[in-house]
Amino acid sequence: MSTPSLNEFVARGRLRGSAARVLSNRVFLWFCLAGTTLAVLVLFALLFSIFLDGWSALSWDFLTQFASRKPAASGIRGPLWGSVWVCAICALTALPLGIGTAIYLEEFAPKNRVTGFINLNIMNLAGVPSIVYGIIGLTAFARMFGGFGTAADPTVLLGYTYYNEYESVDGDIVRVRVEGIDRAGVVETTGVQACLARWNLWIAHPAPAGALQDGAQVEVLTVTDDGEESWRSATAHIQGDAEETARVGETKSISVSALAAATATTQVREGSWWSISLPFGSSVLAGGLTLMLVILPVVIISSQEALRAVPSSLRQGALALGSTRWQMVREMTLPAAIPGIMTGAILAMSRAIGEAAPLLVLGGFLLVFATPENLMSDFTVLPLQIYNWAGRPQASFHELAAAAIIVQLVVLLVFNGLAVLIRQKLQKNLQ
Amino acid sequence: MQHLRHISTAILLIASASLLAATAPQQDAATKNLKGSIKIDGSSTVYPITEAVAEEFRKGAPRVRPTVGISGTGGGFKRFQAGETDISNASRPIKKSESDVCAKLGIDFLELPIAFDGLSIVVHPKNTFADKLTIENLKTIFSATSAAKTWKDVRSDWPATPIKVYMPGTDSGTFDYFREVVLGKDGKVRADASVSEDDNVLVRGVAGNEGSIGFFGCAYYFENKDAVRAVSIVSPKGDAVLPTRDTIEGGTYAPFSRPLFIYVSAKSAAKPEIAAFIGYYIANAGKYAEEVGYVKFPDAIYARVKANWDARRVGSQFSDADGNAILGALESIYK
Repeated sequence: MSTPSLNEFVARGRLRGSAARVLSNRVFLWFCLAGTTLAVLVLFALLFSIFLDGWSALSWDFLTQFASRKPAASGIRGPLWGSVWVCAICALTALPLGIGTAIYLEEFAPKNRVTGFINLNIMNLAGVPSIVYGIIGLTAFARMFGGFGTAADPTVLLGYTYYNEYESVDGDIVRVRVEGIDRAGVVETTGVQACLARWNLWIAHPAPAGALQDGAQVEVLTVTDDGEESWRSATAHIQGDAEETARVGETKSISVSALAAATATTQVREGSWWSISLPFGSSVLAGGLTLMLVILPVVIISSQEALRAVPSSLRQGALALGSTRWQMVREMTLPAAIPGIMTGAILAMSRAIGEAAPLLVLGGFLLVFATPENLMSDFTVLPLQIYNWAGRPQASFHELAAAAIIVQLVVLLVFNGLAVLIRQKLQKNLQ
Repeated sequence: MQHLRHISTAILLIASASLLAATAPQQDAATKNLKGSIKIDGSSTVYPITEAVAEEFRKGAPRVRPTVGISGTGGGFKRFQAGETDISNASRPIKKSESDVCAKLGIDFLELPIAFDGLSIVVHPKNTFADKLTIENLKTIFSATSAAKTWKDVRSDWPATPIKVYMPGTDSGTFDYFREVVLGKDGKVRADASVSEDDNVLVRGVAGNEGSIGFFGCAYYFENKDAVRAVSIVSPKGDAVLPTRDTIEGGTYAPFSRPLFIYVSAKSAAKPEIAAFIGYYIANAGKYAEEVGYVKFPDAIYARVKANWDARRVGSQFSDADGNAILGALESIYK
């Protein structure tokens, strides 16, 4: 009996009940086509209606103005930058953590009951509604279980500069930096505070306001209409009561009355971008970490799947050549899995950008008249702004909501484009 | 042509800029140097008014940063109790249970009514037979025990059109107020109502179904007068009254003209930037409330609000010693 050729096999197959099989093939093809067409049509209908509503409201001003009660003067500067900050924090924390967990579970951890249990839990977490993560974020990040006081009166402040502010005779604001605020300035130390003081962490009770010295180097404030502050340096000149009228006219010097110089009007603190206070309150950091919780299970699972898809011959080859596990992961498995990992990351980040519910629970504000300056800044995000505008009675706000959705889509495209770029770059390295 | 358009845009811009400058709020120079943040959260119904006030206040006090959230009246009070916010927006008076928590945690608060919202009961425009409704009628429709199936069940001379109910979610202050007035404190609402937190969905629902009835804030009714028809409500005095700016402000649209509030923490009120903000809020609440679709108080009430603020009077005037809510005309309750 000779072995039949491939063509013979095909011919035999056609003869045997070919009509029914060809028909089922057709039906399946039409079924797939119908499904795809429906999905694309719905998407286009949505996009079309949103662009129709929102296109007219879209302008440069819309991107650069803060929200307003007047639709024509309203913009998304606050939520746009809030979204960028929160999503950046979310990506920078969730991706390393998630991919690292996946690598550990797939490449290093022994396959036993404990890792099985962990895997099962991660699967379950992926199905938890995002609002639940909002509650976790509120308790763990925003309030820190109440262990560090409230956000309005934080216990620990790291990386802040303190200034005493005085008022000049012309009504200008003059400030001078307060040096050496440390434990000496602590007013009360109890419990956690005392503990932190021992570790030499700065405590949220700055030194009492001091007097301004004659000839001190100070800074003078100018405020623009936008509320942006800029400071120029000058020398303080303290006036006695007698020289009421004689003012020092030079720009390099500023006059402050003896009375105003005796005690500071107020004491303010300014942070660098990395300044941290505990508890986090409803800050961009708390928001980003909460979104991290939301997408972490998705990132872990998709990274695990991508790593599993790497042929084990690659691993065996690497190990056989005497590489360590870390070398194997770094040189072989991870580069091979990067496309899959990045696809999962894109999907997860797309979800993070669109989330409103957990940030609403976290106490995400809606009206914020400043873009985030540091990790502790108040913030709002695009989905919250869209949610609010879409619920207003006036139709012109609905147009703004549509315009904000367009911007959100663009931001999403930019994020995804970046991920695709990274993916391509890493793939080339593998070759 | 292109040039012409540019020029006209420029002229428009200049004109609007000068207009803005002319209407910029007159605040004393002291607010210019104030610095600090004002954290506000709470009702999304009150949000548009607070947004407007914050926006205008900031023009005179650029270093003050107000932030306003929309956690809802109840959610806002939770954060207020935790000391996380300075001011809480509320579309109903604070509950006894909430003020008890405040007392326990040492948060003294000032209660400041700021404007009226007229809760509007609306039907489909083609429903012309229901010209007026009594509270009893509403109870027949909305109560879980009666849950009228058709309009004939409400009044025997009305047609047997099936009733479809649209209403805001049970978490909203609007719903709380309606239930308190129509069904009492523990009344159960019929289970088959269509519920949405988005009032625009309610408007569309009522407009799309001939036998429908629904309720929401007057701003949504004023904005959608073509799509839905408001029903006159028989007031305790016996007159059938439609929700209009005049009837709501004058208090004749009873019992559904309800006051909106802000609650200020007494500790925060001691800060100069917050005191300045509240002063500005009380002085301009009526103006901005009207702008965003609500109804201002008569001047006499704003005078009382200001007097209470100046005296820093703490506590709520809207619940009695036993913790029951006091209902009725604002003018007679709020002193």
